[in-house]
Amino acid sequence: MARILVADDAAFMRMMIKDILVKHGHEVVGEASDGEQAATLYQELHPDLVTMDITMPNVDGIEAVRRIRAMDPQARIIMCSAMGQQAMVLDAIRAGAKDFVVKPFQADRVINAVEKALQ
Amino acid sequence: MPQAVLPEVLNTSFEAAKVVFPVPFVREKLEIVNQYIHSEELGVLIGLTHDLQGRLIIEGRAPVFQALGVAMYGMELAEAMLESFVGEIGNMVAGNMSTRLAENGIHVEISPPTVIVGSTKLTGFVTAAKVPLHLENIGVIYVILILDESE
Repeated sequence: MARILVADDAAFMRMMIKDILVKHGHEVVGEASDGEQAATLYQELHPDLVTMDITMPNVDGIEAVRRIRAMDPQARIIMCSAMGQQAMVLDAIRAGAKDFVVKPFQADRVINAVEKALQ
Repeated sequence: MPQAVLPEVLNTSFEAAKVVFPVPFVREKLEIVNQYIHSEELGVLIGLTHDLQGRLIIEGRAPVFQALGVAMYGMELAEAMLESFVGEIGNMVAGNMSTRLAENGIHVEISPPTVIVGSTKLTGFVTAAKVPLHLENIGVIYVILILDESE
């Protein structure tokens, strides 16, 4: 079981991701609705993994990955975004993300990415 | 350029909708709308920037989005969670559209969704293309695309 922080500006999507994670035995220790809150909560909660949306108000997900990785170079972060273009995926991976899940997604895809990142 | 690429962008939004919506749909006749758009009950607006400036709006009746929520996730959604779901529908369609346009060399960034609740009049554009999509066993939603002329 991993302690996971879920960052997405849509309450509905946070609920969906949380549901998938909890059904597979993980604990969602925090929820963030923008990138700034995600970085703040990462520092407070030290989760094992973060799921991160990209298009969010204030601070976007890729900038949040940079901030979190600057605090903790070992941070494990998976992007969950509707924007799947190659340039966006490369930006996320360069920023330090471990995987990139494109919305709409199946639960299995999220769980596979989480388990792979936790190995 | 913007009006010249409108058919391509609109078609790409339908391709994106096919990925997001789990049911077949029929595109009805395109309507060119001038001056204002009336969002009847519930909708989402996504800003488009970079190579294209404009807005993508998806709007419809709450029961249609509720039925879509059941078809997509098996959930009866209401109130704030239904509104958030509608925002995410806009994000997924616009995000997928942006991904597809990038494959054709058109770089479009999308804004976080602005959810429109209640009977709302939207102004501040010259023309908009509005297409009803009839989702099988669900109902009609409207895809509206506004492309601003660049200066």
